[in-house]
Amino acid sequence: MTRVTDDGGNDDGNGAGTHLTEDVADALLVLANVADGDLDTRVRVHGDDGSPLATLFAGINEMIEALRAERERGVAYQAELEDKLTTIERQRAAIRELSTPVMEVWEGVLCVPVVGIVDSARSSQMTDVLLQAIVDKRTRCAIIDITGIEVMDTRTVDHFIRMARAVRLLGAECVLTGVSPGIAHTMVSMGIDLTDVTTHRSLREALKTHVLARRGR
Amino acid sequence: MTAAMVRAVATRDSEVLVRVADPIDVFSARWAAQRIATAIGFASAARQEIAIVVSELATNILKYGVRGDIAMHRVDDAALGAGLELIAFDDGPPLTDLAMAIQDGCGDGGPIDPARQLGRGGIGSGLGAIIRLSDLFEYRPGPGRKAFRAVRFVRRPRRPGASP
Repeated sequence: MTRVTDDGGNDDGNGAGTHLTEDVADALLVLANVADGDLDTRVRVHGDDGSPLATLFAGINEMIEALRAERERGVAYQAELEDKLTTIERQRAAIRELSTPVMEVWEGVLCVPVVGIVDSARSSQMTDVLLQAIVDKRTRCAIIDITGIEVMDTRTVDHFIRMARAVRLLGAECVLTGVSPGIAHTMVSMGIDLTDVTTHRSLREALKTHVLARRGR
Repeated sequence: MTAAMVRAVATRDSEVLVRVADPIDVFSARWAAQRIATAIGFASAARQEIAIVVSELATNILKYGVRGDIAMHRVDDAALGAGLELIAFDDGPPLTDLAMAIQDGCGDGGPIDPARQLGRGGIGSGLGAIIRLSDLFEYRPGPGRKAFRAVRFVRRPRRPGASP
């Protein structure tokens, strides 16, 4: 805390002129400090309470105090805002991971990009959403992209293949893209029958094949 | 700084308790586990498997226990090396039949009717996945809150019957 003090005997009656000069210099110094961002500084008010200078200095002090309170509020608000932004950022990441968007990229072609982690709850939710979308949008082809998913539980992989069979039963083709080596290994070691599933190396390749096939018609 | 001090700090940093009471907490728990798993030195694929285990534990808390906590911390086993221990506690009633519940396609109450599987929000393989993707699994019915404990080691010990 910086407080401009002057112990140099303001009370010894050196004359009103000196007092005035000193007090004004004191006040100017305080204002300079305030301009530099030090809001804990105050102008020393002394002498007659009723004097115009004392009133002015008291006014300046009130103003500095108000400024300080305002700044504190601003800092608190800023911290709160940053906190909220972090929460929103995390929630956004969560929503991205927890939900599975089903997009109609071409007439009759659905695309389901799956990112993040696939657990049993999510694989179940994905099946619900995808099968409903296939019926609603009269889909001919559903492309499920699992790029970036390195591992799944064996039972979830099995559920995925069952989902593909269900898609087939609804009269659509099920295309799987971006299968990682780990998941490919799981599928093969489980001896899963992959006759109902078409695979492509990448989403791009699958889109090229299936969208072009429909454009050509 | 002495070695003992370094160790104390590391232990504190690698111990987390995540409250699970809302679907968003599944993500928070996963996020916390990822941080610890990375610090312990798990590879990317193993971290994803840990994320699945945490998700299943958290989902089970929400589904059957309403609310609970997941404690996560590093363990150092003399024989098996470094690992991550996850203990999920919840306030729900104890399982009626563990042997049934850990079977795939089954809930606590028995096999799930395939016709009712849609819209159920799960496929009845959560506990199965936890067991498959962990190296140690333990169920504690109580006293007090019921708990599921799962440990995964950086170097997975070979399990009988597992493919190489």
